[in-house]
Amino acid sequence: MTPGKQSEKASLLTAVVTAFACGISLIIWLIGLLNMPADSKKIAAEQAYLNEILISRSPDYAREKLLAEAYWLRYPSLEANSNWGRNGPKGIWGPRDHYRTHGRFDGWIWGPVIRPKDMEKEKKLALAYWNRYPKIANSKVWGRKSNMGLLAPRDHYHYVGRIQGKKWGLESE
Amino acid sequence: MWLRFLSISLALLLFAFLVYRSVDNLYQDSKINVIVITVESLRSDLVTRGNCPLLLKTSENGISFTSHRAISGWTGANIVTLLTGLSPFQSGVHTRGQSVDPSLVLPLEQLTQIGYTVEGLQSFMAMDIYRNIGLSLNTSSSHLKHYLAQKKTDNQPFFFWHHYTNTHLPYRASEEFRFNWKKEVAGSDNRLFARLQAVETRSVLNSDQYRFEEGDNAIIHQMQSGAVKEFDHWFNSFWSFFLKSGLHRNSILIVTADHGDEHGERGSVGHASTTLHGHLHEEIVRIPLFIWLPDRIEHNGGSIVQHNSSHIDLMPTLLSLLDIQPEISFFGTDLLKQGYTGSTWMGMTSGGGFADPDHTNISYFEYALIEEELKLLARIDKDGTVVPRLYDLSKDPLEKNNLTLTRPAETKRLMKQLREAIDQMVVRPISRQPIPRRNKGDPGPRWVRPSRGGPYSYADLAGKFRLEWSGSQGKQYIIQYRTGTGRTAITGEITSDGPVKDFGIIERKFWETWVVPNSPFRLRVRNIKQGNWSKWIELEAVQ
Repeated sequence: MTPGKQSEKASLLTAVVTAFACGISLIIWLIGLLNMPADSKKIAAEQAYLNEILISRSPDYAREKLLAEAYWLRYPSLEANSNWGRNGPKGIWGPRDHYRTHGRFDGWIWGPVIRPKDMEKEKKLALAYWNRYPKIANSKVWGRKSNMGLLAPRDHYHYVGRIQGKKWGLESE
Repeated sequence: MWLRFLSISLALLLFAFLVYRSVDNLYQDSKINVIVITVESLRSDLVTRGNCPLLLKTSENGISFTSHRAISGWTGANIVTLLTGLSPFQSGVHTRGQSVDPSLVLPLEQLTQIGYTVEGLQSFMAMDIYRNIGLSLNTSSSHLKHYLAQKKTDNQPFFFWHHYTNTHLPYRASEEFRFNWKKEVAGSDNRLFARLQAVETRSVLNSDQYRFEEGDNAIIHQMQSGAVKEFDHWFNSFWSFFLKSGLHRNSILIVTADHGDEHGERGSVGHASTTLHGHLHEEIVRIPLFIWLPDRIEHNGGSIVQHNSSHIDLMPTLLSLLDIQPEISFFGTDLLKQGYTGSTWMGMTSGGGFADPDHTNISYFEYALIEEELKLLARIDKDGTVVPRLYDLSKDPLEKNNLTLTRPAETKRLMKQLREAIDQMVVRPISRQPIPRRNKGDPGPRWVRPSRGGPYSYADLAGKFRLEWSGSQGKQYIIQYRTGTGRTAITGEITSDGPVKDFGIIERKFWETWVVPNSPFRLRVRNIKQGNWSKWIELEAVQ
């Protein structure tokens, strides 16, 4: 076979392969087009809704929200902050970001707030703790006038006090 | 030259791969998902415009089966039937510890073979009863809508089963839906008050301990109605999600119940597993069934189907809709087949269902059969005593007048039919493993999680329950349990592949309704083939 004929044959083969690939691609594209729902806006709305569910119902989200709410409750000045606060651009991820970049270096607490069921009993325990430790009772974060109110003493004991050997319970116990 | 050859080959390979992906995507798109929602203890006479306005309004877009029946008096047997198409006579699952024959290729396994994910999210789905049916427990997802949104986004076909449990005893709906029965019975005698108090607070009402009177019926009915109204509210939220997510376009949705509940008509409240006095009267077996099909499925059925149907018909109907040839033979029929006019209904239940006091030696079985308007019920005790009852449902829908004495010939004829089914009934072995020889000096597995006995609150477990012990992957273990105390105590065994048994997510309501009342839980574990038991660990579930 002459080189000219060989080259002609190769060109033909290339053309056939290219036409085959284009043909298959066109068929798949056409099937896709025919199966595409007519209302693409509706599909976009569905996808947006699904994304919202995926974020808001994910186990990580629920846990993150719990931690963020606890952080804001403990440190109300941060709740109003334009960057890490409730209305900040980071949303519920703001508190974690603050804790990572600032909070942990200043000894801030990262953890959920414990909410006992029996608040009557909790009130007695909280008052006993404040009476026992006046410095804590005057603290901005865990004191009598703090944002956490009656939840503050247990929060202090759980994250700080017990490590320092402080006592939890009523005087009579 | 070789470089050119390599480039062309790689380009062709890439092209072939892309073609494969595109075709596969188109193929997956064409598959239809299935979502089955079963509602606990929902008898059909509670599905009224007053209790379920939203469900019934939605049902106008689907198919309603107005004469649907459960096939057994307790959850496990009914669910196995729903998900396999095998009646309890065929499945052999009559109490805890039993599971279907693993050698059968069941419908859900067929779905898995063709690329479906077949899953549920709830912890009790890890029980032995649901083994071998092709269902997996997904322990990584925690929320129904999140799971379904993920599946929709993944664009992979799935079969999903969810069991709504909040309609089970105790009948104590959330404040918003709760029926104020105390106001209703103010001034009545203390015994009535105590009985209703038990209905509102106890998940199990053993018939030997709690006897109800016929006059209690109307109030108990109202008490469960509150829980049903709450379910309707839940369903409305689910339906909204179903539409907004676009799942309705390529999913079949089925809503039914596992079984109904007695409300004191025959002296008990509940069903086999809670009264330990199981039967198959209409309040237990008559339940709702609704099916919604995506637009792309054409069917011959009407929007309201009045012919008799039962749980054994659901899987044949589904497989027919999905165009899958079953590998087992069904007793049931495709409910949407043209010309279908209903069939003879047959059911059976063990006296105590899941909670039978002695599940290795069940005290009695109740069998039932409906042929046209006649219903025969037969209780057969373990000593062989047979007590038949015959009712004419057209004249006596509440089954009050036993006709066995006045219509002996029909009783005999129907009893003969029932006998034939009983004689061929399958009884699967209870998973009780032989005890291996003790190895001296082997302390048995050590509990890793939980590492200690004692009280655990819902918050302690963070909504997830997982048992873990020292051992090796690839080995089988057996967990022996004893739950509750006194007459309500239950013992049994669960098998586990590997040293972890993950029960996944536990919902708070489930924890409060089921786990806490059945506390404490005593557990021990050992290798199925060799070695000693671990130490018993006793866990107390607290609110």
